[in-house]
Amino acid sequence: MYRIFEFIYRYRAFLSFFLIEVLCIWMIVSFNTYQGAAFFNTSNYYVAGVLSLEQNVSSYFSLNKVNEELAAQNADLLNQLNHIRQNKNLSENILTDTTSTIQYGYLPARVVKNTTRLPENFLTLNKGTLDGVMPDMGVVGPDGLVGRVKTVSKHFCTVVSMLHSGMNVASRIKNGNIDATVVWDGLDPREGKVLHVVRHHKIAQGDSVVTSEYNAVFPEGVMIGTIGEFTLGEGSSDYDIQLNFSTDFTALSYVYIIKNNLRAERDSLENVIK
Amino acid sequence: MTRAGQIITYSLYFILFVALQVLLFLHLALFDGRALCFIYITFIMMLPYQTPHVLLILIGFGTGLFVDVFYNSPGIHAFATVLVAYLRPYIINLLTPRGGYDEGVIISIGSLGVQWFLSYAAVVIVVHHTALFFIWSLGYNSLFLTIEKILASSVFSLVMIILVQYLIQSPRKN
Repeated sequence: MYRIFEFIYRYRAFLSFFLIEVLCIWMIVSFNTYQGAAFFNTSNYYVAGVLSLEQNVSSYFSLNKVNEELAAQNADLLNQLNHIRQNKNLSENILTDTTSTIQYGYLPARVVKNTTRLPENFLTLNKGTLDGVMPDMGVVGPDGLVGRVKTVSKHFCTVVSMLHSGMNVASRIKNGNIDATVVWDGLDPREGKVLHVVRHHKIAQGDSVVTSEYNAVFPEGVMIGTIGEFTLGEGSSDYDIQLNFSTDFTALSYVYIIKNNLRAERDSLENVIK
Repeated sequence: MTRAGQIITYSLYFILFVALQVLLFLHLALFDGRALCFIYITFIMMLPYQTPHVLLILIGFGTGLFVDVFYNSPGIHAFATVLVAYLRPYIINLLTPRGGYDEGVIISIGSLGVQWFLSYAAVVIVVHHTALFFIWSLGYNSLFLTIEKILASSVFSLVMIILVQYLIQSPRKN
């Protein structure tokens, strides 16, 4: 017995080092798979509080730009509204379907913190469980897709940015309805990659890439970006495609969290199949 | 320095370096995001020479975890920081100058000289950054990019850490 204690005492530094490293690895692995409330991240009340304070100061410097963006978005929405009104006048006599529900709801949120230069990037938003935010909700910005909610606290949530290796977005090249997957390759916050486009498809630079309906997180047709340079290696079955993100991740101030009102229904249906 | 004075001094160092890290360097990147600066490990590097090994590891864990919370990377910075905290006594022994260390030596550029501190910082930084970026980039299969990031970030961190050493250098030696 004494021998054991002596052994532990003698190698106490190495043993504590070893145990703590194992703990760290456990934390890394569990955070990658974990969803829900988490303590050790920026949705933590105190941490987010500090970051909001910092952001309150720095946001003054970008007010002009944010105003312009919001005005442009307003104009765009007004245009769309006009279209809908006109169409409605034309089809006034057609009965509307009263059983249909509005599938998606948008909740505006302010970006408290955002990183774009780390190997794995996250955003922190100022909306939490009290506002009805839940893990796995989609997040879009004025110009397109931004990310997916990961952890939520009472007043804040962290969002897995598109600039993260865990984001595989089921998407579609609009021109030709080609299904694909969009990922980020870990370096440039302006560029991503489009995977799984087989060589027999015809694609062109500038084609829009949007989310597809296979996506449970985002509505169909959310803009992700446009195709940049692409190559087709000899003997490879897939194109190697660069994607220029439509969202400028380095200048996000306001975003929208998407509530999918039919999410539970879809999930339960898909779980039946599993 | 008394025990209490020492605790206060090093607490202030902790606040200084961690605040610099999460309020300033969190937002800074050079060379298209290849070079990031992790100045907070200066705190681990500067802890007193006599700090017990186990305590050193525990402080490393706490510091790393604190930074992790702001980087949304639970465990990653903690892992790398605990690694350098564990290796620190061996690195210091390796760099023993002729005649050994003085009793109660302060680990800083002021008391041990530029050359000593430069090699010490370089070893600590490279070990820390290598562990950090390899774990952090596990989601991508881009070994070359990861190595690029390690090298660029090491240079960036080294320059900043030396600069800050000159700023906070204890005036006793001058």
